[in-house]
Amino acid sequence: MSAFADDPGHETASAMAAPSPMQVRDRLGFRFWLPAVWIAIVVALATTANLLPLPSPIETDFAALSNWPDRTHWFGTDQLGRDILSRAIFGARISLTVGLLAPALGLGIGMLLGMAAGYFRGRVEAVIAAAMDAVMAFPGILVVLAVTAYVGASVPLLVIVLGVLTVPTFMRVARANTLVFAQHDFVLAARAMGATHWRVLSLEILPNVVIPMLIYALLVISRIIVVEGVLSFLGLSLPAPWPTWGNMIADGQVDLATLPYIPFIPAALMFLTVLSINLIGERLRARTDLRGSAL
Amino acid sequence: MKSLAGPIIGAIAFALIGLQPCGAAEPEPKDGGTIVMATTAQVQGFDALTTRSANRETTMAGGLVFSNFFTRNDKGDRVPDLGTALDSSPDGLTWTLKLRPGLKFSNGAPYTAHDVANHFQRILNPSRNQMFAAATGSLKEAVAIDDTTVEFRLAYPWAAFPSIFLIDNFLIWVMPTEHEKTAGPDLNRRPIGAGPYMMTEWKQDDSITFEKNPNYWNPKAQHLDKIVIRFLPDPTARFTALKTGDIDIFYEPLGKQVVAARGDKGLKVVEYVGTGASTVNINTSVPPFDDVRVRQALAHALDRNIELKVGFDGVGTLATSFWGANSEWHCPDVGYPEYNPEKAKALLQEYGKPVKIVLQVQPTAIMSIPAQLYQSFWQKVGIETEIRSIQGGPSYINPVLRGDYQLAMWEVADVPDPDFQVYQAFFSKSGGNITRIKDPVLDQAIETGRRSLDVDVRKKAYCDFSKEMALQMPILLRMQSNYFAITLPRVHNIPLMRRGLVRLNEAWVDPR
Repeated sequence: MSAFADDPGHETASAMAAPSPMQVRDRLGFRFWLPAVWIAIVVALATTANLLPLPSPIETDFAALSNWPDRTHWFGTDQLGRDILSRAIFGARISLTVGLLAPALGLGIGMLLGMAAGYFRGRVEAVIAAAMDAVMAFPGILVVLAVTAYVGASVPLLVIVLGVLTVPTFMRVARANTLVFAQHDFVLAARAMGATHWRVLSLEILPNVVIPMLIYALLVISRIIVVEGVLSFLGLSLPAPWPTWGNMIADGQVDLATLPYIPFIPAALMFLTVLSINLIGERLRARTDLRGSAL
Repeated sequence: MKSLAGPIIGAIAFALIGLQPCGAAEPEPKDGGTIVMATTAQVQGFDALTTRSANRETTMAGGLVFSNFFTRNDKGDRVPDLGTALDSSPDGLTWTLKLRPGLKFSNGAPYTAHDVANHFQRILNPSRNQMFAAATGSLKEAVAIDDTTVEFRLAYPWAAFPSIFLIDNFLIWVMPTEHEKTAGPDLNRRPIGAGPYMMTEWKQDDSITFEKNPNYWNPKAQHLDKIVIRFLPDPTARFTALKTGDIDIFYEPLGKQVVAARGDKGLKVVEYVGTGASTVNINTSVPPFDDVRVRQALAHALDRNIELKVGFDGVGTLATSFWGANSEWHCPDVGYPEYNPEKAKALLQEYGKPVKIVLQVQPTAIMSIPAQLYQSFWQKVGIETEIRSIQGGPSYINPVLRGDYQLAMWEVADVPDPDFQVYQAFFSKSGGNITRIKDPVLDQAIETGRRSLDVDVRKKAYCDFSKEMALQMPILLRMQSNYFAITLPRVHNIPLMRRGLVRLNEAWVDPR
């Protein structure tokens, strides 16, 4: 502060204390950091659940049926005497695993197809776009319901089915970004210098496309977590007794009036997690959005 | 303390008087008004050949439109309705049904023995539907002798036959012959009966409405102007609707809602403990369940008192056979396996192979929580259980009917004669033997119970049946069939909920 005291420009700077749009965009702020801390806590707990001094999430205790939260069971126990804190933490594993891996699969395939379509155009684009339109024509949730009902739910199956269903949207975002960057001078220059298609795509376009794709993936992650919750609620995700947030909510719904903590705790955890991911994604999108920049 | 005893005793006495069944002090019926009843499932339709089965909602709706040949009063005595007499020939092979003279369908057409005979012949036609073979038993044909007399001819004596005419049953919903022949696919949704009410509106996925039948033979028993059955699948929503007065009858509440309603002076609980039970069916034709030791171990591993508390909120009675203490077919001490995890472990050790099983349930908390409880108990004795959730309806029922299952949560419904409960499901040669049990002792008991006309012989046969079931364990018994409805105090004259049905044919309401 004292350094500014003799600074003749300081007064002017103070008068202009309101940050410029550029400064606002560059600053992440608490609307990024607060959700980021929440996500970090959830991820840390989920990944280290086995190491934590938690009771087994599937062990029933008939002496502690439907106990409200207390010192022994911080989140209470469910109708079978299982510790809800433990089930919530282990349940986060499923939500996060499916929520991260399914979009990762969709991102990988979708980005590959989208970049190919946006870069090569012509027949390649027509074929890929038609295939993606065909995938999008299927009502996604019905496909998932049908597959899980017939084959039986498992984490790999959910990842594959949900991942495939996200491919078209990733492909479209990747294609749109590729179309923009493919017209830039640095790409035209690389091609004029004789760079191969592979080199242009991997070294010139991919680094520019990947950032908006990753940010878009955050929004997809939150959607997939909700979809997994819906499937669990319908009994079409992992079979009992393994907890997921969705099946914990489903098991608690009949006791909503008398034991509201049983469904509300996993519902609140899901809500906070999805909200946090959305806030992080939105903040990063605003920060990297070239349309609003001064460039 | 002493001075308080009097008021306390008085208060308790007053409360008990207040809780008395209102039969003795039932006020004079009032005419007019509407009853709205909310149910879990939708009405399926009114033509047996189209619906092929009937849930309770369908049966309750059909009871309004078609009524019955006879009903039963609270003592179980037969009360004439559309029929006036049902008599058997000495050899038990011919039964003669006399219809009430002058009956009319709701469209004004005469209701005659020819309509009844035509309907039964339609049901019995094997080219149309084999589903009813077990339900129609040894019935061969129905013949109209004159306008008010129908003769039923049986292939062999069948003790349970007369009880067909005592229960609301979709198989005996008679419509005008001309209507049955000409309505085509509409028949299922355009019922014409001779019961006290007629269907006037059917909003799919919402409600079905009934109004007075102007041609009913007994207008004195028609009290309500209108009856609405509303489809409201969520029990919490049904309870809220009842408490806010949107509906008058909450059908099939959860145990905890029954407990809450019992403590609420603004609500009445209607309850009936019938025969039958909630069960877990075991497919005895597939390993490891083809070994009786595994089936017995499953039963010994379960602490059913915990299940009563967790799965049924402490409301109800544990079943040891299909016929509880209040049934005339009750058999004490059948030897149902008690909770004994050590014995379960010993049986599994004798069996000698690892036991991994699949339990089929519907993805509702009402089934999934008890299923997880079973899973936990069985895990403690070394049985690994996978819970398979299948949505209710045909996708749940068909695998069981096909025998493509291991364990499945099920229900054996309340019926007036044990034959309906045991013959189809447990007789080795029955097409509906869903547990695939083949046991000569069971077969002998079932055959005796079906063919004998001597009540004592039949009672002994069903006692033998229950004891053999407890040994062979083709099913795990859960709770005795216990049916509930919660009503507003303005609703009166609901008879015993036999078969879990709320029969509104003669119900009435106080004005709002």
